[in-house]
Amino acid sequence: MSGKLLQVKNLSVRVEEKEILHGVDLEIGKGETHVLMGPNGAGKSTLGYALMGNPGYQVTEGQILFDGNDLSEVSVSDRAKAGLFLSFQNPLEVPGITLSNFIRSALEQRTGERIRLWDFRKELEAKMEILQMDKSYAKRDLNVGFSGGEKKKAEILQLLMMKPQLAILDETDSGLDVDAVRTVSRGVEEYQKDKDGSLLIITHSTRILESLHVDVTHVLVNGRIVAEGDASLVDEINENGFERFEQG
Amino acid sequence: MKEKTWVEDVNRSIYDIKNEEKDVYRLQAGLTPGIVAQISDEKHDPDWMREFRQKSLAIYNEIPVPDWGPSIEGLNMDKIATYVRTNTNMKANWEDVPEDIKKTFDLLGIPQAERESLAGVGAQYDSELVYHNVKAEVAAQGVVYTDMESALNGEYADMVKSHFMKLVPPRDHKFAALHGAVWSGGSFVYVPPGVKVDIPLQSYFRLNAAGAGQFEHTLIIVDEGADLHFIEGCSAPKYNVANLHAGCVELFVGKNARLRYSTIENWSKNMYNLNTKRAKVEAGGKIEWVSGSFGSHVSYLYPMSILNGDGARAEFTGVTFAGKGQNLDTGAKMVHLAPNTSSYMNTRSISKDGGISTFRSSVVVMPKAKHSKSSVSCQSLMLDRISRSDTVPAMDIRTNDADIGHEAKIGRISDDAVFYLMSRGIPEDEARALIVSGFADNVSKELPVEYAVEMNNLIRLEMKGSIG
Amino acid sequence: MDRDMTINRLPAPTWNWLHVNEAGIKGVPALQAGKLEDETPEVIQKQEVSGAELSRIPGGMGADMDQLLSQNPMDFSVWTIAAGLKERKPVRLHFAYEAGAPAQNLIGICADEDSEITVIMDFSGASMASDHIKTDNDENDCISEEKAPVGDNAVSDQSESRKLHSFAAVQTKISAKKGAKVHLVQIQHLPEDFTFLNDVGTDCGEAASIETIQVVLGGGDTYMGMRTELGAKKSSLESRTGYLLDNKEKLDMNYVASHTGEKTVSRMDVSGVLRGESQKLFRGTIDFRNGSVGAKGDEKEDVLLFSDHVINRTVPLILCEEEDVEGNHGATIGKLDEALLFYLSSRGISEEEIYEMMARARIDAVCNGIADEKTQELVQECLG
Repeated sequence: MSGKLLQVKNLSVRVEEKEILHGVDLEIGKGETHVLMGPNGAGKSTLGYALMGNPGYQVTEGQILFDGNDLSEVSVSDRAKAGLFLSFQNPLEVPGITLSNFIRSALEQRTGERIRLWDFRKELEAKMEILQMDKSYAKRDLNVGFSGGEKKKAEILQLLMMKPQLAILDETDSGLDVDAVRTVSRGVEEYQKDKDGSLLIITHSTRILESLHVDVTHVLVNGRIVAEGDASLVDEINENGFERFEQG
Repeated sequence: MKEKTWVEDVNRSIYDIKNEEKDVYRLQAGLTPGIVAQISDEKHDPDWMREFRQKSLAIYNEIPVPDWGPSIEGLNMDKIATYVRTNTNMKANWEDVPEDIKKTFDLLGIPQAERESLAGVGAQYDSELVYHNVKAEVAAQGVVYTDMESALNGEYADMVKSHFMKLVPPRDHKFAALHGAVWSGGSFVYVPPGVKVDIPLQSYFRLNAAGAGQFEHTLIIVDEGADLHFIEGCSAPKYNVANLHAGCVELFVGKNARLRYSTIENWSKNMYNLNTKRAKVEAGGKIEWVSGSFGSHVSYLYPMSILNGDGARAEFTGVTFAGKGQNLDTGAKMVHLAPNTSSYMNTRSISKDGGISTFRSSVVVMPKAKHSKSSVSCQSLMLDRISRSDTVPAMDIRTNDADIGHEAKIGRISDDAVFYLMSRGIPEDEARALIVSGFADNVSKELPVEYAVEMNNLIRLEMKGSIG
Repeated sequence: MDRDMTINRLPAPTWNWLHVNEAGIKGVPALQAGKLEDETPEVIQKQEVSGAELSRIPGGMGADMDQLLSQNPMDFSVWTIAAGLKERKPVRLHFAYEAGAPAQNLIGICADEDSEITVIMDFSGASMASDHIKTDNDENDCISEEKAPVGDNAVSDQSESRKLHSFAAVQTKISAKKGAKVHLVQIQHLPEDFTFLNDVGTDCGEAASIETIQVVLGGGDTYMGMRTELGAKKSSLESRTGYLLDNKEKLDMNYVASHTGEKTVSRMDVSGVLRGESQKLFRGTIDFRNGSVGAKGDEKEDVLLFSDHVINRTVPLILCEEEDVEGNHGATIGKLDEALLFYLSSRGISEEEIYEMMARARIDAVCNGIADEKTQELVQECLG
């Protein structure tokens, strides 16, 4: 194979009766950081959901290859086990399962082996410290009553614990204040260097990108990739917005 | 503080006009096979109907009265002349309807409404239809709208026979059996495949005679892809003896057809309203019930929707207002038998001056009804502390692939809302009437504008039953 | 002599064809005193009391249950805490029932003014060798329908019914005086061949507060009744129930919060999971009686259906004869929310495991309110 971790070929996706993505191509190599930008309603989150295999998002054309394997028949949980991770824009609340128990059982599910509680706790606490999360959150029910910022941190905490090969961050910076964005960025950096992880960062602003090294920028408008470039494209959009792409 | 004098009953002078019973043919009270046979003779029943009535009578004598709802002890079946009719034949021309009956319906606004916004009108006076008319352009579409007796012996006799009391069999409950034995009058409607009737058809029921019963049968068949809105109105003057209404409504909604059935019921407050309404909906079809219950002494009324075909839908929107001396037990039943079916219930009940309102419902989802949805929302308003309001819903769910939601709320008018309106110069009673009308707007929003106005007038009458 | 009984009557009956108005049990055997071990903290007094006063407090199951238990003249075992005392340590009651030895227990909890007491009950039993459990069709089955709701499309679930070899009936009467707080925890993990009747009746003084947590993890046919008299000003009830049913287990409940006092508050939360061919019927009634000015009542039900052969029935009543009250009821019934399922599977958890997790989560959410660690552990042990 070409050494590409993710290959999206001519992908079209429909939600209910409406086609949202029309023939998207995208390639991400190992250790690379890609940014997917675009105005509201362009289909960015749809791409994230389609990659993760949300049953509500129907692939009508094209292919998703991960590590060279076609994902079309692969279930959501098996995609996760293969090394895909999606950080949700609006993480769901799960009463009755604590954050800590949840991460542990997800890890055990993946490996099929029991994880020693002591090792697990140590690692969890270390990662929580990076994210400046209060330890008490580990014992609270997953996302239940968390603020918007805490929910996003809990997503990044799962990312750090699960160590996927490719993390898709869907608007992880939206709704966060400056300090929280910085903390979340620190977590993302940690992920990059920890395992040479690849990233697809979906965003419509540029705040989260300030401290990250970006390899490729893709611009998605009306369900099509309309431009690609290096990190400088981020700066250009930062200055001029999406107008030039929307007219094209 | 200004002292208020409460009026026993609101001014319902329009509804309370009584006409002298003259030239009437009246059967003796009580119910025997002989009387039922006499009804058959009178109506020139075909043989199967003669037999059907007698069988129903036997079932009626067998089944006990319901043991779960409001008391119907005040209703002595032996004293009710089950069959009363005026010596008047049905007229197709309004001018020919006898003067006193005509005056009553005029006051009720029936022909006027027809002229303005209806495709056809039927008016039943006691046991028989006295007037029936359908607009020419609707008839030209092939829509049949006729009285049940004509239908039974006419061109559509077979269709009537194969549908009559198939949805509501006489075994269903005691008053369904009674209906099967003594039914009289009512309407038959057939809408052929693909025909969309743009303006509503209406039928109006008026019970004039004291101590009598009305047992009209309404049979509506909306064929594949057709569309109809049917409006039913009911009223009766007040007498001191109990009257009984045990009508039956059977609605067959074909594939991808739609039927809206709207009722504003304002029977007088001596009426026992033991009515049965049921719809069966085939694949892709939809039944919409819009129901306002304001009158009667006791009501048992729960339209049932049987979702029989894939993707069939039902909506029930209702309001019930129970005032002094009223015990209104109303609600709806939804039965999901097929996949992808959905039902939606939205009701409001109001209790005032010692009135009792009960919301009663059932949602049954059978194992075959995969991927079905049901949502029930019922709200009750207590306007004082001498009234009563009960909520009695039931759900029976037998498939895991269903999405069932239910919410119920009970409370009173918010003092803040009254204060807010009063601060804008609206007197208190007016403010309360406005708030109650707003509470009931789930139904008024669904009605044609003339009916919404009538309904809001009824609410005002009930709310502002005070003078001085 | 075997007897037939009708219990758990709905306070306001509805259509008979729904078969929810009451539960009928046939062939109930004569009962003996059930074995009971207790651990009682020092400040709490334990005594045997003839039941006259306590038996006047109505339970949720009704007269037939009272009659059944009075066949066998038996005292109430009563735990009393004196005025002003607050004991954190729980009274632990272990009920260990034997197969083939039908048994009954009468429990009283008396909390004097401004006292606080916690009583934890766990119900366990010994199973009979499985070949002794006979099934037949003698129709002693309250939950299954004799008749279908409608016409030809009906299911007629002629469920098999058990002979009542293993049978236990427990009635708990609680008297909470002014300002008292009573916490009652019940963990039921009986074997599957048991028919179990669990009835609770409570009478509240002014500003008394009752908190109950009930967890149903076992039993074959389980009947639960609970009636709380909120007769005095500002008294309150908070009741939480969680259940996990599988195979052919059946649960039949009748809970009534009767508000007669001013500003009384009730909250009933029931959540659970139905698997296999299990059946559940929940009757929950908030009854606002005349005089309950300013009262509030809340009922919430959340049922997850994990199999296509379960029957879930819910009858949530709100009865009201007072103007200034606030009553709410909400129910959600169905399978797991699809968005939630997607979220959890995106973390690599298989669907099967998610269902398992969510079933446990229901029970855990209910048990989070139990302060006692031993009990928490017991629940975890039962969950396996």
